Amino acid sequence: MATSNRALAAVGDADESLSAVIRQYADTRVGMAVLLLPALIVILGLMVVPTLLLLSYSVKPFTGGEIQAGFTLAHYTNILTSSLQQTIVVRTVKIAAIVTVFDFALGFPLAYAAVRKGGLMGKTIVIATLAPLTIDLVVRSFGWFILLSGNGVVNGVLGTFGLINPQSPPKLLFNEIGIIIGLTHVMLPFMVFPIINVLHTVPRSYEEAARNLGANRLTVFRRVIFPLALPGISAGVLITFIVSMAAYVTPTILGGGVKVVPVVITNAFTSTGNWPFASALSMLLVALALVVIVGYNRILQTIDQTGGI
Amino acid sequence: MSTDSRSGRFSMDNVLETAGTAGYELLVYATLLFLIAPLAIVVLISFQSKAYAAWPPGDFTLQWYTTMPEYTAYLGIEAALFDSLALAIATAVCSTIIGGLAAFAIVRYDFPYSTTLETVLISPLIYPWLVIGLAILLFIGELNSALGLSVQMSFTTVLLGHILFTLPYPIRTIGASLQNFPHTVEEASKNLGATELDTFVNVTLPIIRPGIISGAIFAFVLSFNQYIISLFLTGSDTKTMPLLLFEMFYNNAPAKLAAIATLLMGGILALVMITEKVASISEFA
Repeated sequence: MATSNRALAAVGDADESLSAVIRQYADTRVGMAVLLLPALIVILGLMVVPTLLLLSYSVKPFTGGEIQAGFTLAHYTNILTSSLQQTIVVRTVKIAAIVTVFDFALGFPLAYAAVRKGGLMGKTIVIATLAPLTIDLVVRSFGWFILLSGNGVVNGVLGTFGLINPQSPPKLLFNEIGIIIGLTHVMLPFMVFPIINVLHTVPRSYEEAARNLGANRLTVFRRVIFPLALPGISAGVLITFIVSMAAYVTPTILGGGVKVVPVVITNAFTSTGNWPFASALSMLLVALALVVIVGYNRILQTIDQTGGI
Repeated sequence: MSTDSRSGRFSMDNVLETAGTAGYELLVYATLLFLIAPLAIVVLISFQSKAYAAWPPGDFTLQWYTTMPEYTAYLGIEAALFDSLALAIATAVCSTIIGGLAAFAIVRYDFPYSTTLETVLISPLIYPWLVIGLAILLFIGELNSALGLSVQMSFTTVLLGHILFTLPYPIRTIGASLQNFPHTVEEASKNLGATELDTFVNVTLPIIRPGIISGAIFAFVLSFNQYIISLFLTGSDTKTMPLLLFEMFYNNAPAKLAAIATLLMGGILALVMITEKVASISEFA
């Protein structure tokens, strides 16, 4: 009895002293700094400083299979002038751009249906979009590998309907087509969710008003929905493009010998040991991310004002 | 006359509208099929008799499941599953605590450049994963040579990379929960005599629980599935499930990989569905 009372008193003391600390610092700069510090340490120590180090590696000479001391821009000139590297960079940008266009073409109608249909259909769309996002990239790419292979499901079904010649089915795997299909699937949720969030803020009555005034659906989309949904669309487009550029697993499994920038970086790093070249090529992805982070900042503010996210 | 021509145009519009609506519906259903197809085919392949994927599929069989104990042992699947779960749980705990604290600061404090700070904190969301892995690997090497340390790649180093790339998710979900609840409830609790700690545990925490759970589950799932950061930052003591699945893709029969992938998908989707029930995770997506 006495011990339990003492224990209770101890708990009460701890509660009181902790609460006193909270009371003292709750609305002060010290309190704010304590809350922010761990996250800032993570960002600075694991992202900003290591990236600066990566930048410093990108200007180190690499000769005779060894990293040398000194300064050189040779790796950057190599990326910009060698036709081999140019092909890879251009291919990566092209694939990311095509994936972004496809994802918008598929993602906007899906997001619109999720918001306007609501109910069970809306819920189904949200769950079906969220589900692939939670599955291992290796598994998703493996699924596409089975679907797209020479005698795979897609060619099988197309052959059954007489749309292709089963004797010489189109090659959907180990080329750019395979990478584009796989990445379009991987990135679709990143396009759909920002658009869903912003469409929730566009009242249906705006569309009805435009319709009543004689606008057809295309005009309603072009003149009413699209401008109002623009913050979500830009967020989706930017995220889709940048993450597609940096994807490794899907292009490796579905691209075969057709290489994109992240695959070349990883190979240079793990097999040839040419860390400076890998670092220089990585800076391309970093630069792109920085542009989008700055752009995203503005988009984030717009969404904040409209109450989207 | 003019009325006639106008009504004629209207009926043409009607035909176009109907066709447009039908086309739109078709596109939505086709996109849903596109989203689910690669997951469904993996499940299908795991129940068919041919070890190699082909169309049409072979006869129905459970052999890839019944023989699983034989091949999981030599492939090291139990160990990889254990490593991945340990890593994902540690990532979820660290990331949710660090991100949750930051979310409090962002939502509850007014300070200059708060939007800029928020952008900085959620920037790992679009920072290339490949670069995260590469840069941390170089950084640890540099620290070793500069300070005479001998930090090896290990569970801890890969955990650091995973905390960084998952950090934005709890910030976003907990931040959203904090934004949506009336500050006055906390005032009321304190006015009624509750201490600050009491108020936090019994008023604030229950209200933001969906945000905390959703953020933690996002971090868990993303960590569990992470490949490229783990490739650079794991040492000989850890081998995660995605690394093993990637090897299996090149070295094993598709049907075996499909069976293991089906069980993993079942587990992850069950986790997401439970989270949807208790915390409406899809609202934070």
